[in-house]
Amino acid sequence: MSLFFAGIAVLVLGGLVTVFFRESGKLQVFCVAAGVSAVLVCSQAVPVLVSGTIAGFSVDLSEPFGSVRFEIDPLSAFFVILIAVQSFLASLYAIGYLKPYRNTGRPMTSHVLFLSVLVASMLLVVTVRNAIAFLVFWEAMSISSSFLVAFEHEKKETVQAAIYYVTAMHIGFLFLVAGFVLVSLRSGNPDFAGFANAFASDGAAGTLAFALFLIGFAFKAGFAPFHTWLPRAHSSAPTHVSALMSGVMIKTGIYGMLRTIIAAGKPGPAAGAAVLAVSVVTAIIGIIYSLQQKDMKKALAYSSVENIGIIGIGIGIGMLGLSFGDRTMAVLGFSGALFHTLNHSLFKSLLFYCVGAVYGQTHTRNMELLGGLSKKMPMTSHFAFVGILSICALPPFNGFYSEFLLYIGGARFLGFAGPVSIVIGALILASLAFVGSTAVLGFTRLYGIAFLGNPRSVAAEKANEPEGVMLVPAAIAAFLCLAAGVFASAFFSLFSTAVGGILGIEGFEASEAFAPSRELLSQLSLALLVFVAIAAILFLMRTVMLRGRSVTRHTTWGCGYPDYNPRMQYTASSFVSSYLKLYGIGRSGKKKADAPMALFPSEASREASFRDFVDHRIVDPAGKLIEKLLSLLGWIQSGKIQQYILYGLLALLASAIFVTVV
Amino acid sequence: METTLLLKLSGILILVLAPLPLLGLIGKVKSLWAGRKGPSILQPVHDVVRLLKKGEVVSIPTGLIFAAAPSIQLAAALFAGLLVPMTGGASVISFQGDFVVFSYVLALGKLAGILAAMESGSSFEGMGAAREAFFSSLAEPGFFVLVGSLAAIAGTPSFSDLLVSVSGHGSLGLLVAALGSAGFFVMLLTECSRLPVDDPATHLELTMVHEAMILDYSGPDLAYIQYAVAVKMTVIASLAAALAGAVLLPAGAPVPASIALSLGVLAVAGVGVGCVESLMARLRLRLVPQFIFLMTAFGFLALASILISRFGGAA
Repeated sequence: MSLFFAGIAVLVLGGLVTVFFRESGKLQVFCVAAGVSAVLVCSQAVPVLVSGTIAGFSVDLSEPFGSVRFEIDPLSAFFVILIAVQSFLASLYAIGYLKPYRNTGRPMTSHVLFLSVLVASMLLVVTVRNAIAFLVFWEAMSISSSFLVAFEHEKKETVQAAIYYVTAMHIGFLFLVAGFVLVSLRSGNPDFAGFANAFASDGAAGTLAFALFLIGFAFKAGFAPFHTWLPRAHSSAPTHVSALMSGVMIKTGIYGMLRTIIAAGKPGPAAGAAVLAVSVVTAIIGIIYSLQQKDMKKALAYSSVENIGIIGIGIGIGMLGLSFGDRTMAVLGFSGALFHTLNHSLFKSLLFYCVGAVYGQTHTRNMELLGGLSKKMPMTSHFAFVGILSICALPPFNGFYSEFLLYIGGARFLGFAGPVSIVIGALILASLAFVGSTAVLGFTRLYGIAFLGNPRSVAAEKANEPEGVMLVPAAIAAFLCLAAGVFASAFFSLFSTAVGGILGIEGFEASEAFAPSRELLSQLSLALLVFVAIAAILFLMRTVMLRGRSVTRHTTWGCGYPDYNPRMQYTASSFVSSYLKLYGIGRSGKKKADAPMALFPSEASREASFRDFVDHRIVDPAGKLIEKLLSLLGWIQSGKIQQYILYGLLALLASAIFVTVV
Repeated sequence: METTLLLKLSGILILVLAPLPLLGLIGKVKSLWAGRKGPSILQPVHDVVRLLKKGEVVSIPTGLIFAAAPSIQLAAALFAGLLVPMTGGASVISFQGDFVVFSYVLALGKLAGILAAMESGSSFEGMGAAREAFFSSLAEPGFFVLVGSLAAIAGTPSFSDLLVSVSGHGSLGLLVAALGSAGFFVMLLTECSRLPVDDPATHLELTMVHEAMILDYSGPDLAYIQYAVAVKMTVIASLAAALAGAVLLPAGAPVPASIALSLGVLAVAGVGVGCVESLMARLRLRLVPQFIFLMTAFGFLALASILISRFGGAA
């Protein structure tokens, strides 16, 4: 474990050292630290993932910690590698992204410090095996990221988003504390090792603790209805922070869920079905809300909710596989979930990097004001194209392979004897297809409106390629998206030890259990190679055919209307309006219209804003209710000095009575 | 072994050669309904060959996506055909879960078309693209419910097993095959942009869906797109053909019989599309989703009949 801790130390020291550098050098120094730390941490974690042997280290601390154990098993190693690599990419990207913010009075020093705290705490969260230390690191993760969100603190919306986020995280935190208290009381100490027995020993309390943990982690992961912080925090944060939060930080929630499932042992069918149902709802809500956003970062944030739902569907399939004793299904579900965790982390950070580059050039995230960027920012557009193909789960990119495993897992229900499982299977297939095809609608909209066509504003017209340091992370992520697709079976073999950890199998038993899925993935890659070959041959044929013939350029057909204006292009809102109308969600937002009523033309305006159902129906009323209840106690703090002296006297009296009587 | 090879080869031949005459057949049927003699059923072949010989006029804002999209669409349709048992029994490429690949490869083709349309910066093409994406978002879940209900009979989720598995289930198999074929016919009308979802013969840009998306295509690229749509139609009709083959032909039927049946079902599908197009008007856009939901409805009906026949007695 020495390499791992050396990596953490480098990270923290790297963050501290930047205090002594000028604003122009801070991020470069931190990036080097993050790179060195990633190498150190990965050289500890990769061997664990490959061989399946566990690395561990214990340290004895005073109460209340007791003996704190750190451990890297394959599951931890998987997340450690993900966090380390993505953190390095994000810190590289930050060098370019934060350049315009230098010497503008933004809290650059604390930003870099909190960045190092966030990365270090994420790494520690996925390796620590002690409840109290876990909660400390978990809290450090939430707090540091909320400061990172509040980077542009002069904007009211940003500060509100940070406060909303930190509030949501603390509600989730309370659930986790309650869960940990419950199991620690049973096992007698806060060490994770005893939790399995604690879960097993008491049915009702075990179930309650299980539910508390899943809800607590669901806040972090962004499952519906706990997802409302994501669109706020992701859109307000600087882009490298959004990429880091959406790409890896919310995955610590997934990690927590998987850890809970391992500790709780074989889950009942009801638990698996509940996770499955919540996940399906999450995926559907996420993608439908993503469709309604004009702010590209909000659209990406809601799509993270969707993808967390898809990962959850995998976890649900895996849990049901465990409870039915169907190992193949469990393997498909959990490996689909882990694979999609990896894939989402890659393509979501990739898309954030591209959208951030666009924002840096055009100073807008509103896609209605963009267009034609594929000409102005060709590299960024190419990478974004890879990103949307991957996020739409289209072959041969990585997203397809992980969803494929989930489809196969879902189809397995259809072979079962019971009518309920057959219906569940059909519904899994239908909902995956629904979410997938809606994602195609949403991301052709994002890419088609923002990157293709003609520029809709001067800002879009004047956009240029960002500097290389912002393109490199996107290039690496795009390459990995393709590689994880084409070499899916190799990637699968890499993390299959982690899946084995969830199922509690290793060695020969594990390799036997994983062989069919690996075989399937390599068959799939081979088949898709045929497809790519056909497409390439056809394209080549076309190019050869056109050689020497006249290929002229002309304006786009506009029904013969000569005076073309880019604003005549289809808009992002109209692109999805029929879809939203069909499901009756087109009118979910607030609308304000100021129509001219008089005889002669006058100024007119119309305003429509988006409203999340959960905010509108649950969070806001709950907040009002709490305010009302607390205001009942308002008389305690009246502001009258006499009343406060009375409190003091009464307290004295009460303690005097207490002392004499008891 | 030799029979399988023969079936696969004939499948590839049908996949490549049948699509354009199938389009011609639809045109012929429509002409006959209209009281005209109509062009020969080989007319689409002449059209495509003529386009292949031409140069191109390309719209100014477009780039690589616009140029590559027709090839991707055609490749997607052809590859989807390789996954389907075109002549019953054996598909060229077959593995567990190939139906997922079928749907997603076709989706990739659609995405390429949608983005190419948006690259031109035309509002008509944007509108067509939005409608195409909208309709396919309704059709794809329906496809999976249809296939899912077949998988509930077969238990082994690969296309060739799925479609064959309806045989040997007596009247239930017949019912499921009928419902499945009906569902695939709706899918064909939707995915290939035929009436009542879309009118391929319309001349008004505002009412177009697929045609609006390809307004700016010409020459070999347009030929690719037209051929791709015809291939897609053949492939989806072959899904119904495989179902029909499974119920109507005995196991181990001679190769010519299988081929004849597949071609027969293709012809029936062509005549069916022609009749629908001659006798029906295009649905209002607001009503199209309800028509596409028929796919899902047929799928759930098939699923329900399987569940009832299997568990109905126990209740």
